Amino acid sequence: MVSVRYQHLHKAFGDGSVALQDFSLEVADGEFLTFLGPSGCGKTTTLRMTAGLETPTSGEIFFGERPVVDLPPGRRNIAMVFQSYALYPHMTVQQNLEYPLRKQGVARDERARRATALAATLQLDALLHRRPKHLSGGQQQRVALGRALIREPEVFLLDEPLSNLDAELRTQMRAELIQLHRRIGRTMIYVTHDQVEAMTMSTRIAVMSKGELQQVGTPLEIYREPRNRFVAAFVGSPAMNFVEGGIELRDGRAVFRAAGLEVALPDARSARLAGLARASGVLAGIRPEHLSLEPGSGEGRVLVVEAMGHEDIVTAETPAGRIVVRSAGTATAAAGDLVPLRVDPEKLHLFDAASGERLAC
Amino acid sequence: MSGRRALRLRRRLLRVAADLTTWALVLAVAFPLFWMLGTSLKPSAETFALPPTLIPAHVTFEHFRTLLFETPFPTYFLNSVIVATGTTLLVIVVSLLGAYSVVRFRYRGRRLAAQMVLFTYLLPAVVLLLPLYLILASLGLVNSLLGLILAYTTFAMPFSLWLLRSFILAMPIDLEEAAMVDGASRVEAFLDVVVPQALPGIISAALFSFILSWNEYLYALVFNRQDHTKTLPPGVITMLQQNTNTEWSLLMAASVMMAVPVIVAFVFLQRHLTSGFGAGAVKG
Ligand SMILES: Nc1ncnc2c1ncn2[C@@H]1O[C@H](COP(=O)(O)OP(=O)(O)OP(=O)(O)O)[C@@H](O)[C@H]1O
Ligand SMILES: [Mg+2]
Repeated sequence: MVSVRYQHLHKAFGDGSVALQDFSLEVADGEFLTFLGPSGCGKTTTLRMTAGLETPTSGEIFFGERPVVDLPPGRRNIAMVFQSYALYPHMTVQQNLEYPLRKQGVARDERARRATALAATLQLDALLHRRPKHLSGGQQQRVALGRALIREPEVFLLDEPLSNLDAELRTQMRAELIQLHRRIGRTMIYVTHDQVEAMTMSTRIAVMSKGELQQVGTPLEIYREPRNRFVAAFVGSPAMNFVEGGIELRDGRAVFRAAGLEVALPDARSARLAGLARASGVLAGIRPEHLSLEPGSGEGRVLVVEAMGHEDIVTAETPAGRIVVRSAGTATAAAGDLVPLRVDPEKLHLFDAASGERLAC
Repeated sequence: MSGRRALRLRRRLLRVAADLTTWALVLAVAFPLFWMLGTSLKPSAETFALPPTLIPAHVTFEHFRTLLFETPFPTYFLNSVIVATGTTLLVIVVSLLGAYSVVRFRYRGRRLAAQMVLFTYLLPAVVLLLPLYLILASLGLVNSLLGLILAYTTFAMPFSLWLLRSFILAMPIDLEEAAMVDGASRVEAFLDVVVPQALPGIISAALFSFILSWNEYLYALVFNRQDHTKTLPPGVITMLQQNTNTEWSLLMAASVMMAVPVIVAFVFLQRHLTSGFGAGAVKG
């Protein structure tokens, strides 16, 4: 059982491309931490450096107190589930499961015993003598997971393990992984670009962009207090609306103002925002679920209504730009309508328009 | 309904035509082999009998006995086995490691090195005869089996290297990395994961190398002039042409025995040639 600590990790490839910059983070013992970010942001590279498959250009990685950068993968006591599963095609399921034990020198009987026991918990018992190519995607996925589990490593590394599964199976495996983590309580580092996976499974999420760590926090912290515009835009679906405007003080109360849109901020925030008043250069972030089709903040002309059954996703054109609203109920609006818009002032996010950083409030 | 029956009939006719063609080809190719086998089993007197007999009237193993006990044939045979086996092993080891290196490691000139190796095939073998002879002579390897093994390796290795290279290119690197994460060293990952998957390629390359060195005549004739280092192709021909007339029956018996190891190798290895493990191990 160990924590994993990254210290000023830096990775540049031979062709000059920088995959990771000054990456520092501590993954607590037993934590389920997710690297979340768009394609190419350096998630896999970081995971591979953790596994020892890639060498950092500079910086350190510690497992507990032990620096591991110079250790080969096999000596780090980790297990990794590859996005491709990487099952050995010439070995049966049982041989695949036993391989890590074979490399540890575990005796044949003991190996077979553990593989059989594990196969039972993963519902693979009937498939032990099949080759990987005769398995379905979900079964291959479970074999890959089993091969990682069998040696009871200190750290699990998972690189988009669910991305090759269909939607239904993915939801099911998500639940299984959560249960698994709860049961074995090992440190897990999980890579995904799917924010739903990140939000539902993680103890904490590390949001990355272009090789830089943007924010680390629990799923709720990331959702409620995104530290900058990137995190705010990346997490949440449909994505957050952004409106550019200014903050003005009116009767001692802070009001966010943009073309055709006004949101009076609650008292508690007003006080903290007083010093930040300015006519422009403020970016307001409004999640679709924090808007409603009621009078209060402005109005817009409906462009599209996507009916989901229990709610409508309404896209409206306003003087401040396009705004997406999640409107509870059915047939709440029709294309062409002029609808009122109300922003929940408690849930308004404010960022500096130039830097994209969250404004102190 | 009748349309479907007509279709089925046409398909069956096509099938019969294809089968007939195949068998005709097989017969044409196999006929000299039957003739060879027949002649080796006839008494010498029957060889030129008219009308010719494909199936011997009298079967005799006399020629095989003569060959095995009254000629240096067994020495040649042993030499050929050593040379062909040695070449095959050397070619496989060198080209497998070479192919792995060219595909997986990055170093200056690895592409060029792999391409240069193919230049061997641009020149007719005769052109390389003298340079190779001089090299072997300066190494003191003329008239030795090792010399022949080295010479044959230079011929078989490029093909083998490129064949295995394409096999390794098609292997996802994930598998080796997974093995290393699972506790294997790089060498173990190579042995546990790369070699088994390259097996069909290894066997093809091995057959190619074996047959090439088993049948080679020119280099063997020029390099190894002493009886105790001769291999079968030059050995048999010089041995049976010492007399003014060629001993056809003995030559045919020798040919039959030369063909046996190759046939055996094919029968045992053919299964692996066609059965790759295929894709499906790695998704996405
Ligand atoms: N071997 C390599 N050589 C050169 N550049 C590389 C190499 N591997 C990765 N990169 C670059 O490093 C950056 C980060 O890649 P990485 O694979 O870590 O992204 P990722 O976050 O895992 O993306 P994805 O979600 O698409 O898997 C990318 O710009 C990529 O092009
Ligand atoms: Mg990746």
